Amino acid sequence: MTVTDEQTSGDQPTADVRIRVPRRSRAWGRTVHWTRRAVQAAVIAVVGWQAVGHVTSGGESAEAWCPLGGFEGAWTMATTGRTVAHVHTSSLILAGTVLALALVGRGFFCGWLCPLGSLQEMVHAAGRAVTDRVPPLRRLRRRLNLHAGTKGWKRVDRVLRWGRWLVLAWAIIGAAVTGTMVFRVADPWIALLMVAQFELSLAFVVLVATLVLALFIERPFCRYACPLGAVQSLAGKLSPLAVQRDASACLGCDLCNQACPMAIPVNTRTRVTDASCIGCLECVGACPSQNGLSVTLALPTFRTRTTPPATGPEPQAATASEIMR
Amino acid sequence: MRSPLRTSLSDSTKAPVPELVIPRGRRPVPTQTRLHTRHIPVGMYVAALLLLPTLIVGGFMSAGLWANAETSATTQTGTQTGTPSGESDAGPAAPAAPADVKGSMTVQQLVDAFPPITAAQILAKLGAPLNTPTSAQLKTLVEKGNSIDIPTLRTWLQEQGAR
Repeated sequence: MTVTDEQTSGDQPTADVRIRVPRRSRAWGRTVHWTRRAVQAAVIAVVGWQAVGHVTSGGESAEAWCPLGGFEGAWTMATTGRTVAHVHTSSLILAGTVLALALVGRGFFCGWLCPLGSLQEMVHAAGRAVTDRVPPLRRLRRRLNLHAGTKGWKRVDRVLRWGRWLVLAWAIIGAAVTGTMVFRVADPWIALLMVAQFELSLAFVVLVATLVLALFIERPFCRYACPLGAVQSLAGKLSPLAVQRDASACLGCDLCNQACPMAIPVNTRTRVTDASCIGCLECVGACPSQNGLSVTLALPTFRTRTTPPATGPEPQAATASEIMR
Repeated sequence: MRSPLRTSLSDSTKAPVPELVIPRGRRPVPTQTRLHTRHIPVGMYVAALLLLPTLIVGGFMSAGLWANAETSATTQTGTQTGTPSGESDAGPAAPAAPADVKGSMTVQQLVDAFPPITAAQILAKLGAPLNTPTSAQLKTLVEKGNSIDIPTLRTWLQEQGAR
């Protein structure tokens, strides 16, 4: 984008300034979206193959590929040199891997690799496809979307998001104190792996509740209850990578907010460092402006602000015709 | 009658212009952060972050430290600690103590690990027919037998060992 010095000074009235910014092709956004879907499908295929093999031929358990078990068993491993039941050495390695990934790439594991998150996205997409075709359900969804924008629901959402930390504390402290995986009884992932050996358990109820909620809310378990996501949120605070928004190229069109599966108000952020960001890049793919949103690497140095901060009027949202033009 | 907006959308879909117009009232001041930041191509971001876990897991696998069978010992509160877990992928290791017994272990493994006890005793305790193969997994017998569970079996093995 080319902007004159006079325009970038921030002191000039800008009400009549019209700026043109480069457009990002829609095909690029679709490529990002489908690349992520392909990676998610590959991970689900690998884990599904493990789970089916375990049930049919007694092969290795798919639980061995669960990093949360590594976090739960870490204390026992450190203090006794042994692992708790259902935790394998591979779980500990995966826990370390997820931690390293979070330190570098924030919530990348959740957005691109976690099979439970992928499943919730699939269910949500299916739910949208159905509700788009059934008028009463479509009206219900619209009504829910309207409520989702109200202050009351936002407050409820903010409170519910603390659930992840409570579940994490329960899982880690419980495992350390009892020497068993206490969260396993309510873990929807375990219920999914053992769905062939149908058993009406708390975990199964949580799984069903998660999938039903996923019809209306994107990634409900990730938002409100996932202890692994909470661990990554903590580690991700140190990550140098983040989606960054350039306000001078932002149209205020709200497409990034609508695309975010974790309901982060992306167009109000400069750097998206929210604890719930899963690095899925759906916002970047949805942005019609080429420089509006991009992935940036923060270098370990700081700079002083050379230009005064923007204090102009609130941005006006671009109209559909302006975006399409 | 088609609305002007719809016409505009349709036309623009066919031939989109390569630029967008920032809405009136926006301040054209580039974003300033306290950090020095560099743009990363999205392809590089994705490739690097997919490569990182692949390298870590692959490294551990090639180093022989990856054990994903149930080879580790169960830790129960109040039980004695034993040796660290084995690393074989072939199946569960033989239990060192009754507390290490798992549902995935076979009857034969118990017979080998606790010599005075015979397969017939174990099968009888589990409520399974005596002609059951000793390669059967304990969890299978527990599910079929409906008599005792694995913790009870551990307790029984401890009692047998004490005698």
